[in-house]
Amino acid sequence: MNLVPLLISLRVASLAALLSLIIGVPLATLLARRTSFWSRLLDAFATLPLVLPPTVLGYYLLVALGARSPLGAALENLGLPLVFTWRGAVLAASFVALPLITQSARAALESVDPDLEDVARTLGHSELSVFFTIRLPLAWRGILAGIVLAFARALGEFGATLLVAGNIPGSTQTMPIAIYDAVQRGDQAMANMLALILASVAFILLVSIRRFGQGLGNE
Amino acid sequence: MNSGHPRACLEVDLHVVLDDFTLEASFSASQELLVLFGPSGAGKSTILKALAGLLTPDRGTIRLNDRVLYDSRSKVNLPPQKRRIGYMPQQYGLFPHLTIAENIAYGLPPAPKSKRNAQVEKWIEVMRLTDQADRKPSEASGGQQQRAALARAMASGPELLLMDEPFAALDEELRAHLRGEIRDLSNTFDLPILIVTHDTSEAYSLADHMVVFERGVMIQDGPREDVFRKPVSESLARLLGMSNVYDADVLTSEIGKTTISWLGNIIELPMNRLVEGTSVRIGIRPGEIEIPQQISTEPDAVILPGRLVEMIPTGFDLLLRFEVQDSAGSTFMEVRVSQAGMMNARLQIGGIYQLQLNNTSIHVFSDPRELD
Amino acid sequence: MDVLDSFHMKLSLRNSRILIELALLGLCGNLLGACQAPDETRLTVAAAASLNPAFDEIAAGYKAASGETLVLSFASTGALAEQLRNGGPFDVFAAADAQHVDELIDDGVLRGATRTVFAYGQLVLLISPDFQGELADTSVLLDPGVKRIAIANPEHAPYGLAAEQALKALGVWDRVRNKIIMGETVRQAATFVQTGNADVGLVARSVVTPGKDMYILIPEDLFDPIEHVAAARSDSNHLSEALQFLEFLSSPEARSTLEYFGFRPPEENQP
Repeated sequence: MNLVPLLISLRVASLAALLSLIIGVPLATLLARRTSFWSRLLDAFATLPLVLPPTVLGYYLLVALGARSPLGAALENLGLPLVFTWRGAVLAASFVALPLITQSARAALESVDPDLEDVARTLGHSELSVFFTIRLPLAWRGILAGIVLAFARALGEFGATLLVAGNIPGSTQTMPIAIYDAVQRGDQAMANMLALILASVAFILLVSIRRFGQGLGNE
Repeated sequence: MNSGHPRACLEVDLHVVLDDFTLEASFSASQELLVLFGPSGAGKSTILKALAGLLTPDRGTIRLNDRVLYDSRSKVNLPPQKRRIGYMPQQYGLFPHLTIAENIAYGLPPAPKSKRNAQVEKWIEVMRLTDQADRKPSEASGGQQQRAALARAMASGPELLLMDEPFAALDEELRAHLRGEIRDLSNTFDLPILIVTHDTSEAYSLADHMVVFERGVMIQDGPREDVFRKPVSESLARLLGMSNVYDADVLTSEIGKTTISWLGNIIELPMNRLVEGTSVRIGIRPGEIEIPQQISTEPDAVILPGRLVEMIPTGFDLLLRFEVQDSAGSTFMEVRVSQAGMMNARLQIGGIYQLQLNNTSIHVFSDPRELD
Repeated sequence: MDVLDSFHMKLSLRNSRILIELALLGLCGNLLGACQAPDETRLTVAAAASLNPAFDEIAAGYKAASGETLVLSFASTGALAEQLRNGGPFDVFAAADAQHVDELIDDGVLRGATRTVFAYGQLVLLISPDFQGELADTSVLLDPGVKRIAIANPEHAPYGLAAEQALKALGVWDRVRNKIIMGETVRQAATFVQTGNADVGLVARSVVTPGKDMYILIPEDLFDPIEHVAAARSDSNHLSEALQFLEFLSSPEARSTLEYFGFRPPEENQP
C-alpha cells in the first residue's frame, strides 16, 4: 500500500492551514466591525474562493502563476516555481481554505465584548497588547473552529490542486487526487481503501486539534 | 453653568455631535462623588467615553489635575492609555479568561516584578478577595466581582474613576453592596468618582454633586439636595419623584416675600423675583408632606384637606394619593408615608385627612424661557 | 504567587501550541520523504484520464523493454492542455482527442513533427445491470423502459461528441434527447449506467469491463473517428527518450495492450 499520497496530503494540508491562518486572522481583524464600502468589497473578495468552483479557481491560479505569466516566469528563474510543485498545492489549498478561517475568525473577533477592550486600553495597554492579551484569547474558540474547517478543507482539496500542482505521483499527488486516479483506473477497491484511510486520519487529526485547542482557550 | 467648586480637579467642556442630537457638557468636579443623571440616551455614557479617551468629541477641553487630556484648539488628545483614568463599564468588564489576581495586575504601571506582585497582594487583601485570587471572575460572586473590578481600576493608580450605570441589572443586595464599596472608596481615596445613572434612588444615595442631562443639554448642576428639592424643570421633577405639580397664581411679590394663591389657599413664600399677576408652576415632594396627628399652627405651615383615594405600595414605603379641591374642580396630591406612619395614622380609603407641609417645601419652577 | 509570570506564560502557550502542532505535521511529511521535486531524470507522460489503466500497463511494458521508468500523470485532457500551456513539466502529452494536441502544436508548446495517432477510441452501447429488456441492437434506445441515457458531455469529451453524432446518425436523437444525462467524463457516464442510475449509455469501450458489463459495439461509420494523439513537448529535456516512447506506442506490444483495454490501434485505418 503506497502511503506517499497520505504524507503529501498531511504536509500540504497542515502548511495550507497555517498559511491561511497567518493571512486569515489579520484579514479578519481588518474586517471585524467595519462596514465601510471598501471593507465590504474586501470581504466579498475574500469570500470568492468559496463561491467559485475549485477547478475554475485552479485555472485562474495556473494562469496567474504559470510559466507564461510574469510572476511565474520570475519564480522559475529564482528556482522556486509554484506550479506543479507541492508549494503550488499548498497555495491552492490555502486559497480555498482562507475564506473559512476568515469568516470564522471575523465572527469570533466581533463577538468579543468591546467594553473589555476599552477597559484594557484605559488600563494602559497598547492596541497591540490589547489585541494579543484580550481580543485574540477571547476569540480563540471561534478561530479554532476556523482552523479545523480550514484544515479539513485543505485535506480534501482536489480541483484547484489538480490544475495548479498537477497529478504527479510522489510529488503533488495528494490523497484526494490518488483516490480520483484509482477511480479513473477503474480500481474501485483501491479507491475505497484510500478514501477510508483519508477519512480515518482526518477524523483523528480533527478531533485532536479540537481537543488541544479547547484546553488552551478556557471560559 | 459651572458649580464653581473650590478645588476643582476635573474640568470638562465638551461638544459632541451625535446621531439624534448634539451633546453640550460643561462642568467641573473636585474629589467627590459626582453623579451624571438623566434618562437613557441623554448622552451621559458619551461623556464618560469622551473623558476616558475612547471617543473624540468635536471640540472642547478636558483638564484633570492640571494636566490637559484633551484640547481641540491646541490639538491635544491623549489616548486612553495615557490618561490615568479608571473606567468601569456596566457589568464590570472583568476579563473572563484571566484570574482575579491577573485582572488586578493587568493595569499595573511598569515596575520591578516583586513590587508589582506586592501591589496585587495588597489590593487583594484590601478588597477581601484572598480566596478568589486564583479563580476566574465567573467563579466569584457578584459582590466579589464588583470588588475585583474596583480593585483593578484602582490598582492602576487613576486620578479619576468613571462608572457607567454600575447599578443596572443588579438585585437589591448587590446594589447595597456596591453603594457601600463606592462610598468607602470615596472616603478613603482622594479622587473624583463620576457615576452615570438613570436610577433616581441610586443617584440620591450616592451623589455629593449632580449634573443632570436631558437630550444632550445640561439642565442642572449642583449639590444633590439642590437638585432634588429644586429641580429646574417639570420633566426633571417627575424623574426625581416630585410628582405633585400644580398651577398657582402670583398675587404679590416684594423683597424676600411673595404671596401665591394655590388650591384656594393664600400662601406666603420666602422668595422674590416673581412677577405679580402671572401664573407659575409649583412642585412639592411627596416625602415632604405629612399627615400629622396634631396640626401645626406655625405661620409657615400649609394645611390642606384631602380625601384618600388610593394607596400605592412603592417598595417598603407607600404613596398615598389624595384628592384635593381647587377652584376648577379637584386634583391629586401624593404623600409618602412609611409603614409605621401608616399604622399610626390608621388611614382608610375614602376618609378625609389634613395634609400638612412647610412653605419651604414649595418649589417654584422658573420660567423655562429663562433657562438658557 | 507570581501573577505576571503565569499570565504571560499562559498567553504565549495559548497562542502558539496550535501553530506548533500544525508545523510539526508539515515537517513530519517532509521527514518521511514526501513531496519530492519531480524526478528530473525520468520521462514524464501526461495522459488523459481515460487512458488509465491502459497506460499503466504500457509503462510496465516500456520498462521491461527499455529499462526506463516513466512517471505518469493523469488528468482530464483539457486540464492537462492548460497545464502544458502554462509550463507543465511533462515530456509527452497523450490526449483523448486530436484537437487539444493540435492547438498546442499550433502554439508551439508541442512539437508537430512528433505528432502520433496511437489509438482510435471505440464507442459502445452499455446497458445497466438492472435493465429488464434485451440488448440485441441499438433499437434498445427506443425501448419504452429506457428512461435515462448517459453520455459524456459532448462539449468537453470527444466520446460525448461521438455519442451525440452516433445518436443523430441512428436517427433517434430527437426522440431520445430529453432522456439524456451527461457525465463530465466518459467514465462518469459509464458509472451512471453501471450503478443503475441510467438505463443505458453510450460510452468508451475502454471504460467497460468485459465479462461484467453488457454492451455492444457501435459501428465506427456512425461517428467521426476518435483519434487519440500524442506528441512531445518542444521544451522537453528528454526529446530523444520522448521519441523513443512515442515509437513504443506503435510497437506490437503496445498495440495489443491498447486493444486489450478497448482501443483500436491505428494500422487498419491509416489516413
